[in-house]
Amino acid sequence: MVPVIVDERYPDNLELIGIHRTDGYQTPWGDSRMTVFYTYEGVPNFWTDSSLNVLGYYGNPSTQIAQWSAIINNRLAVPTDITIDVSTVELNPPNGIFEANVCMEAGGTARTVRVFMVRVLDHYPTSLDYRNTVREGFQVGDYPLNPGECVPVQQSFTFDTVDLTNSPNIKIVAFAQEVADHAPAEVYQAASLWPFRVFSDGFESGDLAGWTLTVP
Amino acid sequence: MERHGVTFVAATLLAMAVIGAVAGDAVAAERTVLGEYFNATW
Repeated sequence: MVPVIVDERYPDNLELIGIHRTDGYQTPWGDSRMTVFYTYEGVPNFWTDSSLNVLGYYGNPSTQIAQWSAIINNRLAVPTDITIDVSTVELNPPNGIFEANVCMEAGGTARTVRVFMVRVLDHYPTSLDYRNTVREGFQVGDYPLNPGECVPVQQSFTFDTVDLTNSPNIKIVAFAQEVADHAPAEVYQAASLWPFRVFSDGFESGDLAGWTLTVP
Repeated sequence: MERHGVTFVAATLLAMAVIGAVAGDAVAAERTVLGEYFNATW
């Protein structure tokens, strides 16, 4: 079901993140998001923009996909005045610093937005081809924005062995949300950085001591 | 009198167009939806 949504129906206008519960793939940020922000409702549960959700399984994949598509389409029709661009600041495995440039359009409405940055690994765990599983997440901060302004928000992440051996599947997702401690709280915009290469042995930092040059 | 009326209508239409353009600016960004899928492997 999820691949249909992610790959076929909304490849360009949906940032889906998978948050696991008590199965060995949970994270502190994901647990907090699920139990505190959303006040745990059960699984499976699919939320769009922290505004609309479908709780539970509706019996067959086509019905489930239709239910999810309905709340995605609903949110796609809602205008927004926020844009986000995610980029790499520094990659020095196992650490990386990434930036979300969060902007308000010239005709926007001045307000403070809460910015989150999340590191996910796609196709993980592999057993059922889970998608964009959250590995690390942060509520980075609250940022006041006026029309025409941008704020560069940076967050450091630490990759582990699982990530580094599957680096083509790493994504950095950022989203800007209404300032609130509990849902519903509208997500104004979401964006991701993918794919990006994780280099090794000092390549990214310019230290090539661990490299050899072999001319065939 | 009638000319004033025409002028007023034209000014009103112009103002509406400007307001509409500004409102259009406010909603010009393309939305990407955040989907959060809460699940478990058990």
